[in-house]
Amino acid sequence: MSLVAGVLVVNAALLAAGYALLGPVRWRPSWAGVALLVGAGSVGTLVFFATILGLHASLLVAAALTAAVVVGGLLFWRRNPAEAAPSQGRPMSPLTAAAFGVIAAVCVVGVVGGFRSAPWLDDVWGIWLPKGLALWHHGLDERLFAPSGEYVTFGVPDYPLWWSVVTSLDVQAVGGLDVRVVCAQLALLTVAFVGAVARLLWDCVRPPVLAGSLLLLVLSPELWRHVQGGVADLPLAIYLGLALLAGARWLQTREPFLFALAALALAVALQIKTEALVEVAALVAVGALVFTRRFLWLALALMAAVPWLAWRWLHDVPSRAELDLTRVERVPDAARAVAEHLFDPTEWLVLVPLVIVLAVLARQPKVLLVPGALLAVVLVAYWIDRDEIGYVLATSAYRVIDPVVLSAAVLIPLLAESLLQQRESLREDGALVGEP
Amino acid sequence: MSSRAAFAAAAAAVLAVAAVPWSDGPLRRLAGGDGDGPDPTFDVELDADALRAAAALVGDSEYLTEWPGGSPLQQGNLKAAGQLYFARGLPVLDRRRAEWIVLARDGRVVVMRRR
Repeated sequence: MSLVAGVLVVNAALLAAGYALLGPVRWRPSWAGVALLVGAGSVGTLVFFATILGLHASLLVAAALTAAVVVGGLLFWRRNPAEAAPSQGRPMSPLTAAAFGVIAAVCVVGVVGGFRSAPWLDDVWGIWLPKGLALWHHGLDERLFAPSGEYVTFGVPDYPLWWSVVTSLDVQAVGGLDVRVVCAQLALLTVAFVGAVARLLWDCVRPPVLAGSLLLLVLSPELWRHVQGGVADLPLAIYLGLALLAGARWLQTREPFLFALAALALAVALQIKTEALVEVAALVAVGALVFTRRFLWLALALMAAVPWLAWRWLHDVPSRAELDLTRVERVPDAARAVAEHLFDPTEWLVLVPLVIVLAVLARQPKVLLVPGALLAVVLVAYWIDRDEIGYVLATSAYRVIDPVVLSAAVLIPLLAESLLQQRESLREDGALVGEP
Repeated sequence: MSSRAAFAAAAAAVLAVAAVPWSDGPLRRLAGGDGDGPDPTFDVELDADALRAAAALVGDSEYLTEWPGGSPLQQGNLKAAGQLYFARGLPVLDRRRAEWIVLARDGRVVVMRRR
């Protein structure tokens, strides 16, 4: 199969799994972004767990698990039928429509660029994808995935393997080694995220605000540079952002589906990178402290980290982080480097400064604790890391901030809408007290 | 202008600019520029075609990668390339255990059977 056909076939299967989990009332094209993220997240996680149980990450295993997810989803929704949510058509001005047209076209070009790019980050072709190929040929073989002294083991052995599994399935479907599958897959997930933001906020954020917010995101040069790098920090940020999005919408609607979506997204994030464990815990803590204690139930998602942690413990896979809190002098350097990337308009435009301004104007500064908690995790990771600080900052500070940036991107439309509603409310109050 | 027309016009304009072959703007870069091949962009000179050919020989055997006199970056790239191209095989640390030696020198890759 060609590169394009192979990757699209895999993603069509993931999309089908996602739609099955979303339920018949969401079988509409506008839910495709959410469906792809849910399908890729759930099937990728199950295949990863299957390797922990001794199976290979093959297309056969993935197909069987996809079928199981589809059947499980269909049976669940058959027994628990949901009412169709009212479809809300929203009028929009030609200018807003043009903005959505630009967003759609940039996404199309971004996907084309993904299929035409080999990942520039050497970790991707040197660690992430080889791990996935080894999971296909050997399974989770401790000779390769745990330090043995006899075999060459992979770098960063403590990292979970969802990203390796998903990209390995793409290579298998293509039928031969082609590293462009990584960027193609990441481009599709990124576009799916943009679609998911639009879908989940469509009913609560006015179209011009939504279009402006999404334009800021898709026009950020660093977003697509990371897509073409194949960096795993971006899918991690996407799933944390999806959890934040679903959690925020659940606060407004109390719809159980959204709570489940947030939990699933957090569970998937845990399978992508090690730091997700702390990031998920931090997000749940902030959610429970600032918004509602019911968010503590999301801590159950942390259970999804247990299989990989157990395998690591059984096979003596060391953690790269060690709790040495004496090297506090690393923190100012880390904070400076991270801040430079967060606020550099040539990287992420004004996403981060804008969310700060909006939170202040909308009188919701507590919301900033969400990206703040993710930022704190990054800084603590640099604090306790063992490598020379200048080296690790130069090679990772630009990408480990992805969850911070995407959380800001998700919060911007919500805060902007909240601000506009406050202004309208003030104007209505003014009219009530006798303005002409 | 209707909303649908505005959507289509804006999208078409962006796609047209991205497709212009002589432009070197951000949209052209977003589209992948001149495009890459299926092999990685190594940090050092390394013959991807030779690695692909060697993969058929190494198969599922135990192998060892060597870059005599190579820098840590060269050694690291060769090790990672081995794990990528020879994923069916098992990379060993001890030369005596290896069935195949994958040798790199000046970017060229040679595969030798050891036993």
